[in-house]
Parts: sequence; C-alpha cells; structure tokens
Amino acid sequence: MAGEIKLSHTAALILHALNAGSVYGFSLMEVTGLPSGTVYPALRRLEREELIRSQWERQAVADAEQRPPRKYYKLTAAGRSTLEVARKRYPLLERLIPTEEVKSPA
Amino acid sequence: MIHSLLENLSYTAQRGLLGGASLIVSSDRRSDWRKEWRGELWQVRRETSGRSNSMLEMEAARIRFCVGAIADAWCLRGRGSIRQKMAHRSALDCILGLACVLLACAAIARTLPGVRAELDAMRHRARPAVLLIEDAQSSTGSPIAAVSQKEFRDWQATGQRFFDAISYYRSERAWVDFDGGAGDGLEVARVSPNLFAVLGIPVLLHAAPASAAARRPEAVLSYQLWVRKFDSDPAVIGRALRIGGETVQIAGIAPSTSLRLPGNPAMWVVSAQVDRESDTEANGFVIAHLSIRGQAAFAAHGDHIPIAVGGEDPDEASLVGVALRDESKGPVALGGFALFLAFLALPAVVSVSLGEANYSAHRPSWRRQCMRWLFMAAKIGFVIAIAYCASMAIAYAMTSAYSPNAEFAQFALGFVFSLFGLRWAVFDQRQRCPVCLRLVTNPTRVGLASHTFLGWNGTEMYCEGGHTLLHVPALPTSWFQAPRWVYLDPSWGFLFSP
Repeated sequence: MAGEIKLSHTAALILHALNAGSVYGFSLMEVTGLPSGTVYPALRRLEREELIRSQWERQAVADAEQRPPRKYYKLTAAGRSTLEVARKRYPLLERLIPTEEVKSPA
Repeated sequence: MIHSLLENLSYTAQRGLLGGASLIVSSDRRSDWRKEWRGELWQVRRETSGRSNSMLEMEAARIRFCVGAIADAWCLRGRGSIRQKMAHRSALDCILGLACVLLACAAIARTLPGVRAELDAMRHRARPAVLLIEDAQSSTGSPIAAVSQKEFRDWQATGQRFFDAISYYRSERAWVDFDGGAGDGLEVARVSPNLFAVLGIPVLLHAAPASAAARRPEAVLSYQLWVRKFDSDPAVIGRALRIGGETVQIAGIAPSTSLRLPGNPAMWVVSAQVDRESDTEANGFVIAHLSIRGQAAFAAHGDHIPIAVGGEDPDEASLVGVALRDESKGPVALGGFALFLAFLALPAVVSVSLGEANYSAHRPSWRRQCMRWLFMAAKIGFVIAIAYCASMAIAYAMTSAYSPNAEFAQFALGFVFSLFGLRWAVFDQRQRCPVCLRLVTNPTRVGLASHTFLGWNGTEMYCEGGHTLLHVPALPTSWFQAPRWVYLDPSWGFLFSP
C-alpha cells in the first residue's frame, strides 16, 4: 500500500533528505533550501501518513551540549519504500542532495 | 551593549510571534509544538549569527523562519483552517483583488480635477456645421485672422446666403490684474455676445451683471484659468477684473472643452462694442454657423469653402471657411482604440493557448467549463476597467483641464496597461485548475533533458485541492507543445488531506 503512495516533489525531497538518518527541522531547511513554512507542514503530513516518525532527544544530551532538546525525525519502513518509488519518478533528487551532505545527529 | 539589547529584544519578539502562532494549534498539541519551534528558533539564531554582516539581514532571516510557524500551525489546526488557508489562491480571491484595485483606481481618478474636466469636455462639444473664417493663405494648423471689425459689421448689415448666425472673435495678449494685486499676461479674446450661442457651448455659472455695473463688459473665464487662478471657486462670479485699463466683470465660466479656438484664449470679453464702433484696425476671425443651403455648398467643396467678399472672384477669394471641429475623440473612444490595438498585439506577447489539452480521458463538466470562461471574461472586464481608470488617473494627474498631451498619455498608457493586463489574465487562466479555478502551485522541475528530444522534461505544478497536475514542457516539441493537465484520481488524496 505504501509503495503506491505518490509524493509531490517537495515531499520526496524532504523524505530523501531524511533518509540518511534522523535529523531535525532546521537541518532539513539547510539541506533542502526550503523555507520553514514548507518543511514543517510537510513533516506533519509525512508523519500523519506514517512515512516518518518523530522522537524527542533526551534532555541529558541537550543539557550536555547546552542547547534546547531537538525533535528528530526518522523514516519508517513504509517511508523507505515510498522513497524508492519517488526516486524513479524524480531522478534529479540524488543530484539535488547527495547523501553524504545530509547531517546525522551526534 | 546596544547590540546585546537589540538581540534580546528581537529574541523576545520572535518568541512572542511563535507564542501567538501556537494559539492556532489545538491545546492538546500546543505545548509540544511550541517546544519544538522554540528549540528550532534557538538553533536558527545560533546558525545565522555569524553568517551575515548586516544585523538587518540576520533578523529578516529569523523573522522569515518564525513566519513559517504560522503555516505549520494552520496545518496542524484541521480541515476547516486548511481550506481557509487555501482560499487565498481561489478565483473569488482573484476577483475581489481586482475589484479592490479597480475601486482604488476609480476613486483616485475621480478626485483628480484633470479627469473631471476631461469627462466634462465630452459633454460640451461644439455643434456641427460651425466654420472658422480665416485668411485663404493660412497654412494648415496656424490660422491667420483676416476680418476687421468694420468688415464684420458690413457682413452683419447684409443678408447671408450660407450662414444663419455669425460671430466675431479677436484675440490679443493683455495684462490682467486679479484680486490682491497679482497680475498675469494672458491671451484675451474680444468676442461678440453671441459667440457661445453660435458655437453651441453653454456658459457655466452664468449670471447677468447687476444693473449698476451693467455698462461693464462681461468676462467669461476659461475652465483652465478658473481652476488655476481661482481654485474652482463658484463665488468668483460678479468679481471685477482689470484688463489693461478696462474694468470687466466675471459673468461666467466656459466649460472644459477640447475645442481649440485660434490663440487658445484664457478669457473672453463679451462686448457689444465689437459689433458696433471699432477703434482698432486689428483683424479677427468670424465664427459662423452654416445654414442648410450653406451645408450643401460646404459639402460640395469638401473640407473648406471659399468666401468671396466685395465682388471677389470665388476662385480667388481672400477668405476661406474651415470646419471647426473638436480635436478630441474623447477618453472612452481613445481607451477603446487602445484596447483594440492591445487585442491585436496580444498574440505577440502571449505564446500559450487557452485550449485545454490533457493526458486523461476525464473532462470537466460543461458547468465547470462555463464557470472557467465566465471567470476569464470577468478578469478581462476588470483589466479593461482598471487600465482605463489607471491611464486616466496617471495621464491627468499633472493637468487641471483637457490637454492633448494628457490625451496622448492616456492612449499610450491605456494600450500598455491593457496589453499587459490581458497578458496577465491569459497567463493566470493558464495556471488555474480547470476544476476549482485555484492557482496551481509548487512548480517543480521533473525529468531530464534529452539530446534526442524523446525524453520529457519540464515543470510540474499541482492544484492544492488535489484535482490536477499541470505539465509545462521545458522545450516545446511537435508532440508536446502546449501545457497539459493531468486529472488526479483519488489515490492522490492523502497528499491534500489536512
């Protein structure tokens, strides 16, 4: 079922950026170049479709780095299979965001 | 110190903006949402602080980030709010926007004295079959006065074959003293009392002079002079002016008109003396209205009629009568002609067709198609009205009365506004979903350019209502020239659900 879901280019771009690991909203903005008004609503929709899931980092980690805690997002299995379909539809995705540019959390 | 204070202030304001946006989110998710956005804001502030030299740029980037929170909050809010958010791209929104622009242009145009004068000028046009009698040697556009007052009186004394009314008109430069000691050198015309009747133009605010001052000549001010020197004050009627050594009394205002008499006088002094005793040998013009017999003779000669005086040979007549016509076609006719030219020029600036090509077999219902074309017609109607009002307002912003230059400016601006307005209407229509008339959004480049042109690449946009995708080819080919619509089936619904 998940493989039949068709993604818009923006959603596919965000999913592709997330694929490298769990990241947070601002890092997605940095990698994709999309504005906050696009990235965060897209994350909500993808999460609603269970293509991604979110998780707060532990307070101790945030305290150790002297910053507020982050909400990390990670692809689900359904999200990965949907991304594979989207990559065939949008072949430029790989060129727009090479996988090694995507930051992973510490 | 100041920098730190400003930083704190901006941080507080941005947290306040996020706090305000959080009120849109339902209460059960608000705390989590606010925690995430405030954490992200902290990250944004840290990342942007070293990137830009200008504090203004830095703060602008942070504010842009915070404004995005409003869209996110609406996204979480629910179905009804999503619809409200999407409504700003709807056809109704477009029509309301155009109506607001039109009202603003019309209101601005209505307040400008030049526009009012131009519209008035259309109501006050010289009657047909009025001739200006001038020297036969006059070159086109510069009439030469050739009739003395004595000759005019002789004409009056004899019966006229071709004219049923004649009037005399002589223009000269004179010094006019206004109230308060201010004076100005103006073109002043001495005219017969029946001049305006012969022309068929009414005198505005006309008042007969009081009996005590009945011997004073009456002066009729031109509309331009009335606006420029007297601020369109109606109480000016009855006031005395000194022209040279003579006192005259203002008895009326000539309406704004596009009719241009030789000399373009600023004031007409109506004096019966013109018809009686003459103390000058200066020549003037005769304004005459053709009788029915005269109109037949005029038609036989074309655009002028030779006038033989004192037994002259008609072939060698020293005078000629030419039709006195209004120069102006009127703002509506000019606007219409500019619009006609804009329609002719439109194919040169619009390359897309409005015909609908689509990949799927689905066709919108005839009702939706009718709505689509009605929407297009409404947009064109608004564009035409806006172009007319805006061109009038700009062209007549710097003038208080009819002006040929302003008329040309109105025509040129009307053409430009109409052309680009129509171009916008067509492009806007091309990017509206045929089902719901919303603008398609999120342009995305898809596909790869092919050396053999067999692969497809171009831009894809989608309707936020989830009805259609619009494919626009990057390089039009014989098999894919015009943009095409793809009607989406229900499997796409999840993307557009709130």
